[in-house]
Amino acid sequence: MDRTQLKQAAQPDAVRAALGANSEEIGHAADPHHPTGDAVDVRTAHYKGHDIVVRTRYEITVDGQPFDIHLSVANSGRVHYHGLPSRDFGSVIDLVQKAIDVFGDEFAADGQPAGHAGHQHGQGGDH
Amino acid sequence: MPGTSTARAVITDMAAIRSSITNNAEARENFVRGVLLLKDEFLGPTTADFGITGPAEPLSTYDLFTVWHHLAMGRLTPPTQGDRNAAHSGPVFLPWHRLLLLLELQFQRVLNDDNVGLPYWDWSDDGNLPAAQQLGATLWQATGIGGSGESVSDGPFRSDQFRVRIDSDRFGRLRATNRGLNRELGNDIATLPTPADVATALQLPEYDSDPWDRDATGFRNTLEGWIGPSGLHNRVHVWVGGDMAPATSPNDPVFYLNHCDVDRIWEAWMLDRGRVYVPDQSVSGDLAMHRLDDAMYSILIAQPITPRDVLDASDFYTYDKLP
Repeated sequence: MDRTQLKQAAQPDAVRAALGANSEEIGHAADPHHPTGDAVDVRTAHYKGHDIVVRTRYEITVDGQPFDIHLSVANSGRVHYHGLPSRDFGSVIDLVQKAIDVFGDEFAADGQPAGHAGHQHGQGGDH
Repeated sequence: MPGTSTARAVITDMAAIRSSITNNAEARENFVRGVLLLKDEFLGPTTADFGITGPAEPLSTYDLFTVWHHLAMGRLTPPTQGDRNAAHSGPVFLPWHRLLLLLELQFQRVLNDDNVGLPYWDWSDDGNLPAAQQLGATLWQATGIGGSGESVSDGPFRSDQFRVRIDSDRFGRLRATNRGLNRELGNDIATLPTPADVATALQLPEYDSDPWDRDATGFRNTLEGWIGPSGLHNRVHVWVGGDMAPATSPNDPVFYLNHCDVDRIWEAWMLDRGRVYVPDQSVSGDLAMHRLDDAMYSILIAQPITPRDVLDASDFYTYDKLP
């Protein structure tokens, strides 16, 4: 890294220019993090000369409402989703329960009981 | 070459020294001032520029770094899988966050002091305390960065002077908001990692390995926290909770203190093992954005910067102490 160049890159005009060059990318920042609906997680492994492929599709509802998220499953079996990116879970039930804990106000906005008082978000989380 | 600037006769063109926020009052003061100045600086972008519906609200320079992190997390690498993204769950985790910590250059700009370094929080030091005492550690006092709460009410980032303007919803979509900072210290997990946990990670000889994701063995995945019993980086996010939980976790300034410490641990590992990084360009293009000479994901810096470029950051900063 060249320190002089990066110090220049930290100047306001350079930051504006970088954002401008990425305008198409940042214009989709509010899109869902990942495709939903038909998202299928695929795990692969090679074992004693055999190729193993496991395809998993989850359909999750909370109080009858779709909770349409893209789960990834590690070969260890632990599940992860990008709404709670710094943790994984031993089961999908555990994951959804934690999502209700963290985003309780959004589930409440669906007309369901809140897990807790939740945050004061500016917009609802309807999907 | 040393020079001078401003009435404070600040020496320029020397590497900043990164210090412990709990042991260096000046480092803590500069950090607080830098965060608040960057939260109050608006370069023009609004929520509308990021495709967020509703009235266009200006976003601060600080908020732009939060958006950068959120977007990197949403860029799956490659898009055919759901695990590894442009900044996490893969080899680039450590170099990409070293790039994000160039927020330090923004601090130096708004504080008009080229010697200012981001401080680190040695969370393993607090991890040595009993669980109840971890909650009351120095950092979380009003004289540190404030404590816990659905809307933090003490310290420099209390709700009347620090507002969260953008966050992500349960589906990972970015949205506008206007609220105080949320922390739930020790609510989900009782204790922080310990110095013994850090020492164990530093013993790992290999940086990373195939399949280069959450299942990989090696130093990166251990320090990131997907393998091993201690959880290290991930465990700190979970222990702090609140705004440290979703993809917009840089909303909480403690994000930078955590990642500065993670970077410090990586620096210690490289001093022992050499400034080595894998994979290089010989592996599949599925690892694009994670290979040694791939440009890392950025929306705020126009020039391409690769993992190779950041392996040696000694022209920019050094640490006062390594684990």
